[in-house]
Amino acid sequence: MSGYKDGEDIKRDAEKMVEVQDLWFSYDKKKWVLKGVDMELKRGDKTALVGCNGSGKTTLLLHLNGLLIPDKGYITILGNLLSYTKKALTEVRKRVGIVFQNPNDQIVAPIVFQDVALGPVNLGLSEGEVKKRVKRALNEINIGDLRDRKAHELSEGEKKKVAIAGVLAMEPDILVLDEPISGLDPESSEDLLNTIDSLCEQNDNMVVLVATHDVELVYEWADKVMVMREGEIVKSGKPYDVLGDEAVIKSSRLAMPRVLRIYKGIEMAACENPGVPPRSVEELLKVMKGNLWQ
Amino acid sequence: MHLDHTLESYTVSNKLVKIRTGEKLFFSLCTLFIAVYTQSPFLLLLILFTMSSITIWSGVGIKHYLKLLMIPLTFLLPSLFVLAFLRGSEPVLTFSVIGMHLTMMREGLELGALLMMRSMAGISCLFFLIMTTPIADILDTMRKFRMPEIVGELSFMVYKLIFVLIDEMESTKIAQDARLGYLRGKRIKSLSLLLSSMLVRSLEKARNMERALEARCYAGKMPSLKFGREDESESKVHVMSPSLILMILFDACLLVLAVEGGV
Repeated sequence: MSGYKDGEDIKRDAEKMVEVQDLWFSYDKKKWVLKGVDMELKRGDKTALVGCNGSGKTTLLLHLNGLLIPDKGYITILGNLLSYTKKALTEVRKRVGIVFQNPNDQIVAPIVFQDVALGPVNLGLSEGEVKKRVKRALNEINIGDLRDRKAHELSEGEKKKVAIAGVLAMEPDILVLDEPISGLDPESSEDLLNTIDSLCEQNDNMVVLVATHDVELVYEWADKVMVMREGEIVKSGKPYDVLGDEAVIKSSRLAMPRVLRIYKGIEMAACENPGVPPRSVEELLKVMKGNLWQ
Repeated sequence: MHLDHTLESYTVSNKLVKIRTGEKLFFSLCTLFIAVYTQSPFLLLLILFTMSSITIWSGVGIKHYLKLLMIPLTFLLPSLFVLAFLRGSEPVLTFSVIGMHLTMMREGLELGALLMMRSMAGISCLFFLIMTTPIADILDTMRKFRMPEIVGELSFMVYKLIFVLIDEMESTKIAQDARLGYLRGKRIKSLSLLLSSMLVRSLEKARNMERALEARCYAGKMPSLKFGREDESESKVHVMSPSLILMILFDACLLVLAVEGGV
């Protein structure tokens, strides 16, 4: 455990939690899936990676904790260059937690607490520590009551949460979620998003990266957006700047968020001084009301 | 409900889940040993009956239990039938099939019956274990008895992947049925398609699972049920719990009967 303590100091100093430089990768050595990706995640950021299916999002995520080895390029996690020895990989996987798209692939144990305990048990922690972590992870996302349930009986939304708890029990500094709300009904996805939000509030130092093709979600939720197209990050920045860029959005086979589209429409038609662009339907309604009264 | 899921859920919700894994393992293996050792049909039937009753009582249900018992039975019966023709000298029944004379012998028949009872008794011992104890806990306990890590890890993976295969098979079968894949004349072709696509998809699933496990630093250890218990004292206070004493008594009786050979 002493290694982890040493690393703690580095983490506090490093503003850049994750840095990816000129990353190239190909599965079959014929077609590049990642073509020179540059990416940076800062402490406390809620970052979203958007791109259509097959744009290379998941492939990029798998690199972040060393599940795939790049053909070219560098990955720096908490100021340490990622190396691929067994020891270094264990260390980096403690820091970077990935929640996969399909919770059924991730949940292997029959009972919820058993699955959440999987990471800590394999890290060789003591029984007391494992129990503590399981409890904390479950409470952090408010599923303490699911502890003794059978995993296969849970709803899809609950399974997602269990999968997240399983990753949280490793106490990561960087939480990566691959398509967190795909396949969920509106209420469950709303619920899950709130969970992720409160998680971000509880842990100021945690970096959260969400990969998705759901632009509506991203526009409302993220602090920073990166658009991925055919293995490259074509634009990154503030949600309004990135998702409002019609050329980038179109060429990436995405759609502009509806709120933004409507807002742009009124902005052109009526508003003289629109101020801050709205990010949700509620904010948009406020802007519209304001303009109608004028 | 899938077969795999019901089986797995018995192991975590049966009436014997609180009893320590070591005790159940010990009880089941000792009884199994006696079943292998004894020559007495009475003892074998006693074991079969007792073990089955406990398992059924613990929450499996008689219908499902008998259904599961049929699986090994379909493998056993044909081989025992053959045995009746090979051993012994005292004919019981003679008949001819396509010019071949076949004679069923008394000795072979008796041996077959004994073997059959022994197998069923043994199976009931193992059924008792696997239906009342989660696989992770069995492996965890066996690890304490110096079972090599690799064996435990492999067993768990194999166990898990069986379910992946079953799931894939079910969903592919449904997809084929939906497109009338099993109408007359197409069965063989559909079956071969089923098997080949099952292989490809299972490999894909297995790889995803491997990645997800690797991402959580999986090193071959499956958390046992003990991590769910709030109070550790409960399982540690009694070295000799009532259940253990009962189990030992039962096995001791069996052993005495087996050695004495009176029955």
